[in-house]
Amino acid sequence: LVTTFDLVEEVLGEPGGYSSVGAEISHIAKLGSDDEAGASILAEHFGVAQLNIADPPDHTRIRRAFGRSFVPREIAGYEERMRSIATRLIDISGHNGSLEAVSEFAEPLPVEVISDVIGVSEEHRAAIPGITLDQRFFFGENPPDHERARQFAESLRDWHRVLTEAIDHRRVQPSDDVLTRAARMIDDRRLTLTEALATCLHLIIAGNGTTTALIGNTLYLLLTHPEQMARVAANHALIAQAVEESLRFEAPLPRDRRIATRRAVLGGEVIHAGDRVVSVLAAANRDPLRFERPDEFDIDRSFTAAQHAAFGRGIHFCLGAPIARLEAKVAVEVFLTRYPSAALPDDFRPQWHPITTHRGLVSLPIEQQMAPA
Amino acid sequence: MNGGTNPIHIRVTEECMGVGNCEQIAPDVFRLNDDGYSEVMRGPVTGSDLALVQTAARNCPTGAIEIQGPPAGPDDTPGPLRYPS
Repeated sequence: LVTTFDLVEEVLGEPGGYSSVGAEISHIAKLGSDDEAGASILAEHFGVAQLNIADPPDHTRIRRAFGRSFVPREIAGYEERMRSIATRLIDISGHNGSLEAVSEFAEPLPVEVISDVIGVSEEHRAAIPGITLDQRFFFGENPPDHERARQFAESLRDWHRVLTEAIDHRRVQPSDDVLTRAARMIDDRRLTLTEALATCLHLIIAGNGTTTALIGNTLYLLLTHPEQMARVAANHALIAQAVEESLRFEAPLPRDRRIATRRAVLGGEVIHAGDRVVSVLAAANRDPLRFERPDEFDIDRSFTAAQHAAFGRGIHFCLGAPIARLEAKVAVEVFLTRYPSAALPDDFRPQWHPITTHRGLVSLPIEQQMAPA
Repeated sequence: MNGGTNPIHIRVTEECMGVGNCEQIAPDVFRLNDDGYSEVMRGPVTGSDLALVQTAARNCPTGAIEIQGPPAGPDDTPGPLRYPS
């Protein structure tokens, strides 16, 4: 376990010494062979280069193939759409007198946004939270649960079919979404079909659960720090820094794992080739050598964006960071417009997601009346 | 290798996608411009900046930072260094 900021940066900054390849496949191998069909789609899906499980040069090739769809300038074009989805979601629930801010707001918003960006059709969007949870439980449990693995493999197979059809459709009828880009990259032989499918599905999964957690965590941290929340509600220009501090304080992905490729000395400890090296991003974000009063949530902290480790460091720095930041900003803004003085129930105790590879709340009940539109 | 006092030239290629790791690592050399892409702020760098620029190049997700050594002399034919390799 690597828990200080400097050492996390050292590990994530040396992809040649600490590889992203192999951990998934060895996890799948623990399943044994009693479900060969399931094991084969898992091995196929996680056996090809994808953004988070590849090293250069494969990683560079895939990152270049998809990167342009995720630059801040492209993402800025989605802001109004994000705002209208967020407003619609909060109004539907708010009119009924209460809002469960995770399942009714923080979860559906990222599903809609990432579906728009990738190009997932309406009929398939409802299945996204399911496969996101399946994957989280599958890799979060050691050894993996067989029934869970079977279900996950089945969803993977369904998604490969759905996305293959969608990519074929884009060849006839191009759009400006990621699937259209994927079709072009396959035709230009820059990606294999399986790489494109696996990467698109990875982007769908990574693009919703983490953002749900970020929105929920930020709302929770504001609700439990009423003075700071009142200032942010009165001055929406403070939202962006509240989101950055939330990223630092409760990173939605608390850790990032690598496998050492060679002998190294890290923080005075000898690391051998093949050792698993886990960078605890959440701990780096609370490193007292890096942050004063690290365990205080303080939106006035003077650090510029990306000086924390919540999006990782190095070449695997989160591709979707611009979407996550913008989406969280818009979500908090819409929430504070409708609920400028919201408070949690007196007996509220936060319940965190049971799989610790993920840091997000299970629910966040808001029982006040909504402010009029 | 380029080291010591030989100046090196740096270029950000069109593979840049504005992640900003380079600006975080070597703020005196790289800055994201108004379009959100990285630009090299100043000319040849030497000495201690070189290490930072190499770190930035290694940490670029799209490998968009090119480092070029001094023009090849008669006894020295360095090609372009490209990270990640």
